[in-house]
Amino acid sequence: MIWKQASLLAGLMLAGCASLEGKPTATSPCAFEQVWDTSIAALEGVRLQKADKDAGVLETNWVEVEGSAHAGVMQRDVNKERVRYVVEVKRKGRGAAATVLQLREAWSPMGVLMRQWRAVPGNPKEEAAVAAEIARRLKEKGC
Amino acid sequence: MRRLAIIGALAACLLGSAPFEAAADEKTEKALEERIRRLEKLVDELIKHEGQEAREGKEKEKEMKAGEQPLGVGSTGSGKLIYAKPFVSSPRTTVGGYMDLQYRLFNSSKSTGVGQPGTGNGSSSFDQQRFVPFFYSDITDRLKVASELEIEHGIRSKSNEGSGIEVSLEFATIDYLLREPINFRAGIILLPVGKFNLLHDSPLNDLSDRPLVATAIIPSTLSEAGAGFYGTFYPTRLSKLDYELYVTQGFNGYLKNGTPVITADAGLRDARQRVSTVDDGLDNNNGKAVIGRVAFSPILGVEVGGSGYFGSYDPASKRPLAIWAADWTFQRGPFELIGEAAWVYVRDNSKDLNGTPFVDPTSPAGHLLPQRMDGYYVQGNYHFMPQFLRRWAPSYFTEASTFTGVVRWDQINTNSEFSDTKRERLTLGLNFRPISDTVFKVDYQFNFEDGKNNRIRNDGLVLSVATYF
Repeated sequence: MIWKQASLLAGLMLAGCASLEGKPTATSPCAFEQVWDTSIAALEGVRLQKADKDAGVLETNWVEVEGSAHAGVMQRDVNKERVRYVVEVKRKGRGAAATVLQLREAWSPMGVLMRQWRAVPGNPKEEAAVAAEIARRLKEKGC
Repeated sequence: MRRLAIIGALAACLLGSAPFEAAADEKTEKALEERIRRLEKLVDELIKHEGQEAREGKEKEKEMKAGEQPLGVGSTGSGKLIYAKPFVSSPRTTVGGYMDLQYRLFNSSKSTGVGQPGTGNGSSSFDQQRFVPFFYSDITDRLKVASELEIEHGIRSKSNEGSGIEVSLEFATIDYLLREPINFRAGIILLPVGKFNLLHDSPLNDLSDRPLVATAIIPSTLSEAGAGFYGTFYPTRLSKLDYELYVTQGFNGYLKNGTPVITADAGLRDARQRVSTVDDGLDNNNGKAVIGRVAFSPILGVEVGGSGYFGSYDPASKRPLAIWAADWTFQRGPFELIGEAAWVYVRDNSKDLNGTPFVDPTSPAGHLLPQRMDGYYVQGNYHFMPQFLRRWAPSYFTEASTFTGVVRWDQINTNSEFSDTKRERLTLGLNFRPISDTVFKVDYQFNFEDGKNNRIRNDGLVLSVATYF
């Protein structure tokens, strides 16, 4: 029984390591280094929390953004949201690809929700916008 | 005041001198000139004073716009003082609340479980169960104060024989944010035992009544005074691990005269600090409780949590009380599966303080007081919104509106050594949220006591509305 539960937990944890498959990707014939540098440049204005070039992973700090939902019957503008971007740069053939993931959390001063941030789905449009920006900058480089 | 004096002097000068002027035809031109000079001087002084007042007013307005300085006691006048409270004008504080109202219609007036709302002397009743104002203050970027003040069954104006009006702080905490993985929290803390206790607000829940396990085994709202740490780790790209760890006051298992309060009928509910008979909610012993919860979310929509409570409940602090709990949340598309299980061990509760076996006064079968309790609930939710409703009445059924179908199974046993202390419940529900923070609920409960032998027919309908404001 314990083994069953442990394997279930392990399965769930492995799911947490899942790849960013299906997320918006900027693919380019540019070299890995160029895609890496361009991805960093595209995240300008946001502090990087991690930049592991060997693993090809960029992670930004949390940035507060406008909340998408209003609070209570009075629909007050007091809810907060924050986002963090993870960009995974991988070699692909002669070029490279940068895949973008947005992690989003929400907070509300409403009752017990004021105790902590909770995870909510990322915004696919904003993920796509970051990927498009990387692609645009790479295109400008003309490689 | 100064301005009034000047105006008064002017008036006196103009009016008071009129008879004198009438009689002054024969006075010399010199006297008239003197009077004109005096008037001119007074007018100049008045103009200067008004200019100074205007400048001061602008400066004050600037200060208020900056939001740096709340109105102080300088805003004089009894009518103004109330508006001088910083919490009213400060943009750093949010004041809100939630409230609910239920209509309960049951087969009988029998209780449907410990901590569960009743129907009074009849079998049906309106019940305004909770009115909970809350206050949240962003004192600085690192310092936050959060609180919920609960007024239960607030229609009563004073305590009565049956039950007193309940006004208490559900939680009131000072948070000092250090880093994402570790933050300090002190105050009256909502205990992280199971998940329901942390998310007990009526507008958040899809059924009107709380799960049985969350009222008898983990007696929500369960909060105690204490301090500790909480934080979040992000072990992988998609996963999240939250923890909370506190040291708090602990349960009090006895009345002042030594009468035990942890019974099969009440579960742990009457041993909470918030109903403790020790003055001012102070500790009944030297022992403190340690409470912790770890919740792991491998991906968005999946979370499993484990929590524990370890303390002592007797005056000598020799008898340990432990609660273990597990909780789970799985969300995929419109489906949701949530639940919680808990086990309690109250060592030596079956004996009185002298060590003599003690019969549970609430047990018709004459069992000893419980040492072990257990319970769980499993709840399935399905969120949906018929499109024809949106087309038919788009202003009522907006993008933010949703219906939820709910089914929940509850089971608890407040004395695990026996089966006649077992309670079971099946609840079917449907609710409508015009916006996510407001909900209209319709629930039907099938209540069982000892499911096989002594079923008491107290099934019932609960209609309720709850909203944040």
